[in-house]
Amino acid sequence: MRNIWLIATREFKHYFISPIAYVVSFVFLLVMGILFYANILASSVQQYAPGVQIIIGPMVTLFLFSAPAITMHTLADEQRSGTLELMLTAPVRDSEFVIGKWLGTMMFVMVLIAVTWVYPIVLNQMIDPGIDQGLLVTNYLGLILMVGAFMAIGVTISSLFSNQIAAFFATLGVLLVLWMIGYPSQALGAMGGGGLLTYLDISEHFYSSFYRGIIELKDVVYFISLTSVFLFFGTVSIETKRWR
Amino acid sequence: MNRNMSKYAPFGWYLALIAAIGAVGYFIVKQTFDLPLQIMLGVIVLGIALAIIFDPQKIKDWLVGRQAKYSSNALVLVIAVLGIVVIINYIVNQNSPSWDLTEDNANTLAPELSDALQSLNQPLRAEAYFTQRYPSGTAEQLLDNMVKAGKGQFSYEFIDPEADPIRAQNAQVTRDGTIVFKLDDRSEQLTYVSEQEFLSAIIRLTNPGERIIYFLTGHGEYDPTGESDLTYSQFNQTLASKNYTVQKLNLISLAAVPENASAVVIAGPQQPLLESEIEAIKTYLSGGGSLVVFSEPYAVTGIDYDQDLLSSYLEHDWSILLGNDVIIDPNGNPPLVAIADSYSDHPITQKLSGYVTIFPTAHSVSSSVMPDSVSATILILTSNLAWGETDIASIEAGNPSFAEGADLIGPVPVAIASTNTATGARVVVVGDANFADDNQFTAYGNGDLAINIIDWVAEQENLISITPRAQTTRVLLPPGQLGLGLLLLGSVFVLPGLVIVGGVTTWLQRKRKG
Repeated sequence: MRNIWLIATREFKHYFISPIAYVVSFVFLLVMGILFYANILASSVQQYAPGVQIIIGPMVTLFLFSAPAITMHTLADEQRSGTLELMLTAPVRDSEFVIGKWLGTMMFVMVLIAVTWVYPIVLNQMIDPGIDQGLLVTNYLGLILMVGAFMAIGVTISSLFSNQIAAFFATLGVLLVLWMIGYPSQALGAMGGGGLLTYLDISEHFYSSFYRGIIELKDVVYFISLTSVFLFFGTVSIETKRWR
Repeated sequence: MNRNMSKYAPFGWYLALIAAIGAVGYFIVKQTFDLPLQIMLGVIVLGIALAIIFDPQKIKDWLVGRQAKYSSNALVLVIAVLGIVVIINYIVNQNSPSWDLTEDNANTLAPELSDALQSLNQPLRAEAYFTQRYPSGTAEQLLDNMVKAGKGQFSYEFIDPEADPIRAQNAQVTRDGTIVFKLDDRSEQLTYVSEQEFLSAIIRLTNPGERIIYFLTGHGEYDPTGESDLTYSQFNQTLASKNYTVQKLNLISLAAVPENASAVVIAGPQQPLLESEIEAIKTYLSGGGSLVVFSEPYAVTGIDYDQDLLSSYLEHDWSILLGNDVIIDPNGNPPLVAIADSYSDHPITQKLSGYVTIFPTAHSVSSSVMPDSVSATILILTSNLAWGETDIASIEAGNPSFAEGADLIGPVPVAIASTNTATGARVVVVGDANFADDNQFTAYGNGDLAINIIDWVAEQENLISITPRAQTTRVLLPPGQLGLGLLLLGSVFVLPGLVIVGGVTTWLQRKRKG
């Protein structure tokens, strides 16, 4: 556990001495700020009270595209610089190494998410009698679970490459496939594969429950499973480097 | 095998790979396991076999080497972990509890609807016919909640009627946004999305009873089974899709209204009804029956409502007055077409909000002093600009104008519903008959109005009332010019700007440290 924490804090600090964290945070907050302002402006003109979804909706899309940028360096950079071999000889388990890396990315993402709390606070002040707090809680809970899965996928894919750009595009590809995998489910319905594809669809587990203010146990289990499976794949991927 | 032969082994793998790609592509396109696919699978096996035959040593190395040992260990571990995850997800998915955290329990079904779904003992299916343009969010959310409450007995699918017109035609769907509930061979069509509507439809489907609507004949009425434009065939089809049986009734030859009648419709008679017919209707209504009258103006039929027996009966027993006028509406094109969008809060009209109804050649229908046991509600009013023109000659001359004292000032009532609280009988009168003919049925809210009238008189509207739930009304407090400026400054410049400041500071510190 101590090893995981050490690796996670090292990873977390690394974000703030590299330009990636600042570039990602800047673009993320700039786009969020523009969309938030535009939505409030539109609501004022059309005289309706917007929900917390005007904040969470864009945030989900932004994380879908920024997750590969946040995770691309985690293990790919270690391989490129040759420090991965060094780590493999250290008294650290492969799983601790991968989980530590993932935890470090999550700590960075949590800081970013914490900053975005400013939007619901402002929105709450502008709406009488305030925004739906239950909806806010489920949306943020779903977002954190989903981003946790994104990071696990990104860290694992990063372990397969020594080139960060390749890791970025491979992660983006996998995330987009998992995001849209439910689309052909209707066509495959007759063959019996439709239900499986819909179940694998990440967006289905977020928009049908958390986004609407519902916490469903199966969706919580899905995201935890997805995160665990990919962290396990990452561990296996590191382990194979010992005997390949 | 000869060492020279091993160089041919890759060709076996290439062959298998090409055949595999072909097989996957073929299966995606054809989606059948037919002969060409079987041949491709055979080629895959052949390719692998050739690769093994040409280079058996390599296969042996793969299977028993050091990498094979570690790989197989990793593979077993991966399969075990995936298996555990799949099983956990499967178990949780079978009976997943959920918690609705929204303030007003917006995602929780009304207990009445939830109970109705949980008591289903056979599959209930909903087909939602929505084009891409028609908003489907509310319907989808409600149907999703119903799936969860249905415990596997309820399912739904969205169908684009433009992409699949044959299915829409088979389901007799004529309007975008229609939802068809299907149970066994019975179906119920709805064009309004609400828990109350869905519950009523489910109750009607699970409690099938004979619901016969009799259309009176013998006086030149509109024919529900005809095929010309001036018939009610679309009205009839929609009634059939809601499990009503439409039959014709001739009270000149038949002395009484059949006992199994859910309602009797008198649609645009061109001749006055006989006294014996009025007596038969009177007897039927005194027993708690239901009557719908779609009457055309005197100028069209020549029936003088001051002398007509049916008009007299409606006035004395139901406090409904049929006006001897024609509604002139300057908004209409031509002005003989009355356009109405003002509705009362009544089960017939409460779902018409947002739609106009149009009545070509209509007359006024108002209420007089009501007997104690009768309660009448004016359902529909025209705009203030319309009036009830009594000078028929001026209409024929093409220059009608409002004459104070003689004409009925707008807004003019076009439809009225009356209930006898003692007998439970219901009567609806609309001062127009062609609003529901094949030319006008699909226009705006006309079809809904006609169907809602039948639902109400046949007592098929809210069979079980859903307890209204409290809803928090949220209002945006407009931030003003200064507030918007601060919002722009804070969200677009300050927050992202702080990140830039942080980045530059870190860069400078690192540069200073070297």
